[in-house]
Amino acid sequence: MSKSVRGFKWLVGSLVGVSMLGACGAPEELETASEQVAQATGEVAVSLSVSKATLSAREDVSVMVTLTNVSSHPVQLLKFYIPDGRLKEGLFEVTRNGEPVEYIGPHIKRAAPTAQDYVTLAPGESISGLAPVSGMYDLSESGAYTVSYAAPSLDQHHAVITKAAQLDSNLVNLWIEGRGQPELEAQGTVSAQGLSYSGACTSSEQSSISSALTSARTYANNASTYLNGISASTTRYKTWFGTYSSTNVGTARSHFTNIKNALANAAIVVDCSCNDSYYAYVYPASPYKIYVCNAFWSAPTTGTDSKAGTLVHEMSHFNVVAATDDHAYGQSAAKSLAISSPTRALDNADNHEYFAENTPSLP
Amino acid sequence: MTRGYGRWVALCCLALSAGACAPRKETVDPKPAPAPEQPAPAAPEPRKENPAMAATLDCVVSVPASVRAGEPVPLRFQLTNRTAQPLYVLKWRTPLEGLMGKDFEVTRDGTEVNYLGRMVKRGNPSADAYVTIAPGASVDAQVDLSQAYEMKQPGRYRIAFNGGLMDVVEKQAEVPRSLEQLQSRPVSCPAVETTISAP
Ligand SMILES: [Zn+2]
Repeated sequence: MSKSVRGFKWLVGSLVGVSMLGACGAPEELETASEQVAQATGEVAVSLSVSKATLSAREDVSVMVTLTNVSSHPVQLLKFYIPDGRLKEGLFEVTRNGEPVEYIGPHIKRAAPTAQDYVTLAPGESISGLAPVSGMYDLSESGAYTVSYAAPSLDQHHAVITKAAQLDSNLVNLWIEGRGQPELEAQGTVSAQGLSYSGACTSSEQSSISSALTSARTYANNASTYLNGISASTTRYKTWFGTYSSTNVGTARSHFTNIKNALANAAIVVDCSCNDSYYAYVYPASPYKIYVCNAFWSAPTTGTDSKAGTLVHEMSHFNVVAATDDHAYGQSAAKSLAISSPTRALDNADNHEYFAENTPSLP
Repeated sequence: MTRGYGRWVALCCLALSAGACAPRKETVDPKPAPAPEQPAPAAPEPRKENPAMAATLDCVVSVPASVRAGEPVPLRFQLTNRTAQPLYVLKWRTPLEGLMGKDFEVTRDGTEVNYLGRMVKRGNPSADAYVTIAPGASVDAQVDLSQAYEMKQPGRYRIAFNGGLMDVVEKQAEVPRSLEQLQSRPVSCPAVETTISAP
């Protein structure tokens, strides 16, 4: 097993303190590590640790990351790059036998962060959490791996930040048994219907997404059939899309035809890496990837603001589907919109979702 | 079996932080983003007859007069409370929360440009989704429009704020409201223009 420690020659740079810890990271050992990094320059020290240094192909690989404010003043850290067990993107640089390993996780384009996107660490304060390596990096081959902290910096955001924390790095060594095709990890398991997963969806998450998609297809099929079967205003139509006209119902029909077809045939990717309070989000210009977030997981499969309805909502956003916007959120705002502006209701994702969910059922 | 091989190494590597994994802090704050010229803020005119709703919050959007193609397009968004009481404004769908939706209609020489950012479905807001604006005070935020709109091509761009404010609350005790109780308020932010020149 000396394989796991060979390869120090890859490390360019001075090694300040090398702590040899056992295969099981006991708390006091972690403390040792923290003490060492505390001597780092910069405001925030990063300490990495693992509970196992040798991993079989069947084991998930993750690294415990601890960020400690080693300065004498509070610092702000961008939440996106703090491991919290459900990380959005890769935090690391990974090598295998000295060669860089490809990143296969999601690439997330973020809006400029706001004050809410930061957490403040008091002097001496630490936060820590597990960050995934498997599913994010190509671990298809066996070898001696190194993992070092390399979270993207803030420079892409042009954010107005007073004290951007300077992050130092450290590194862990692992022996990882190769786990087969990287493509399978990157794209997930493609089901018969063209649904795949990214962002480290667990198997229970995958099955709940898969059921939600089945129900979303039923919603879209039913909505489409319903719209094609009416020739005058109905309670259900009017509630969600406002005044009936042949032009307007034509728009609604074409939207649901497209939603139905995309849900049935498109190569949908559902990404589980989001850890925000939202239900979900998409980039309308980038079909057909749907990012599901915390509220999605606590939603029922069907019904108002359900998982299935959320998939209808998100699908309606794609420019190639119905190019809807979010002019208003929630049932009462959607109903008001239908009354005040049928045109905007037909351009609002929630109106499509509530029409499809039809809860409570309207004639 | 707690010692021996399988050893992982926690180490702090000073030199490494200057290498590939360095956060490249230098580039974080290049001149706090070209301060957009501040259009003279509308003088706090005495409010007219109907001060109740629409006229309670002033909105100003500003961008630099010109930007080089490929560079950030900083947009400053400012709300001013013209009432005599504090207002609690939901930041959603305004630059006060960053760019989390198609908050602006952007045209280049009259043609709408593609929005490349995200659209988000949300549940009930939390209290920290609101910002308090004291009487007479302003809040502002800056975003880089080029992160979410196709603005690489030279041309004359017009930028208009799309929406209103999704909720404005007058009583602190009512913050946050549930999704079903939001009371949106229109706000008028005059559109602005900028010229993007060839790099
Ligand atoms: Zn939406």
